[in-house]
Amino acid sequence: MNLIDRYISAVAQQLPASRRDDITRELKANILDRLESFAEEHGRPITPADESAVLRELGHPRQVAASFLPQRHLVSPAWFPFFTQCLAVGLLIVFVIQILAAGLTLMSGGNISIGGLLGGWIHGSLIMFACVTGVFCVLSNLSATQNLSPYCHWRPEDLPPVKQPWQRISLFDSSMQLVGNLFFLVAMQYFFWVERATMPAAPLTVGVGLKSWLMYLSATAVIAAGINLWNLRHAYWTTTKLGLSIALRVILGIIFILIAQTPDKLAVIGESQLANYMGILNTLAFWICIGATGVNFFEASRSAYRLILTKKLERD
Amino acid sequence: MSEEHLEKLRQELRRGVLVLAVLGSLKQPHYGYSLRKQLQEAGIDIDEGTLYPLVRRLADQGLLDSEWHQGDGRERRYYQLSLIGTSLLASLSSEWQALNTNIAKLLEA
Repeated sequence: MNLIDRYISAVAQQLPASRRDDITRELKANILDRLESFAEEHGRPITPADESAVLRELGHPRQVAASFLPQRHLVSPAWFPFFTQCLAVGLLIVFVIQILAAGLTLMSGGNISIGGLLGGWIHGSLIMFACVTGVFCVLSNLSATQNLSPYCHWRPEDLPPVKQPWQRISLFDSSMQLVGNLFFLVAMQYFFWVERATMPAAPLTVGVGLKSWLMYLSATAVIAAGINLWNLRHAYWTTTKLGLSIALRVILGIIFILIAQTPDKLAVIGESQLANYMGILNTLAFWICIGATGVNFFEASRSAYRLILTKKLERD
Repeated sequence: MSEEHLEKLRQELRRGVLVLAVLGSLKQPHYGYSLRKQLQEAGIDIDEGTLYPLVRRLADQGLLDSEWHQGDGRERRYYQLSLIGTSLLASLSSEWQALNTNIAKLLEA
């Protein structure tokens, strides 16, 4: 079997049966013409090395076969922007599920670890990536699906009224804040509802002073998660959102000041030796509360600055 | 601008008119390799990996008729403009002439 027959056979293998004979018959005729011309140009018979060079110039059999078939895409350029948007949202959903699952594990007395969380997120993300890509592969290669794209039915009136880049709220910021708020919400329910006797091996729990504030912190976490969802749906700042954000941050700042002043922020379960270090641990908790107050007042001032700029933009 | 960038833009510019060049060449019947030679002689160098699939696509669209002929001890597939192809070539030629005239005006300005 000479090189040309091997080449034609390799191309044929990549072609659908219905078109195989027709395409390879013509391809072989073209290759023989090319070789004949090569021999005339060089004034000598063709050698196997010449054949090899001509075939290499023509291209790899898979590439040549693909060039004779209609173009196929894993994800077509028309669908690609929506594909990346779905992947970003998919990553967020996987992350939220992971955090909620971790919170539920914690509440039911199980243990969680950063490595387990990260591994679970990577595993979930890979499955999500494969599923989303599979769906878009089908959408990209069926002509009847062209009108299914949400980009076909958009209206300029629906675009966000945003003039400056700072008016936009990034998907990353909103999603991370949402995940954080949901995690703390679930974690706080653990300390609030679960009795000390049923707790797992953890030697520390919240003290009486901090526990009395958990209900208020939970309420603010619910409101904050609601604002995060609103931001995900309409990813730009408005005066209403900024006003709400300022109020929420100020309330949180005040709550953390009040928690800092309570004497029993942390407590020891059972006969743990940590009881000897409760003074240091409560001092550490005090400074964490002061830090949280500072962060919330800083965020409130940032929102206030944005509010001033937004009102100025509206006047202009 | 780098040579590579220039070459990329040149190829993009040429890609659009290749169909016109192929249809124009196939007023007379040609088989794959003879078509390539004719284009090369006209100053349009197109590699085989691009030309042969392009010709088959145009034939699948009904713009070219094709027929196998035996000659010089070998069979070859000859292509020629179909009636639809002839009509389309006339339209594309007019479009090309108009475009060429307008762009020439822009380049001279």
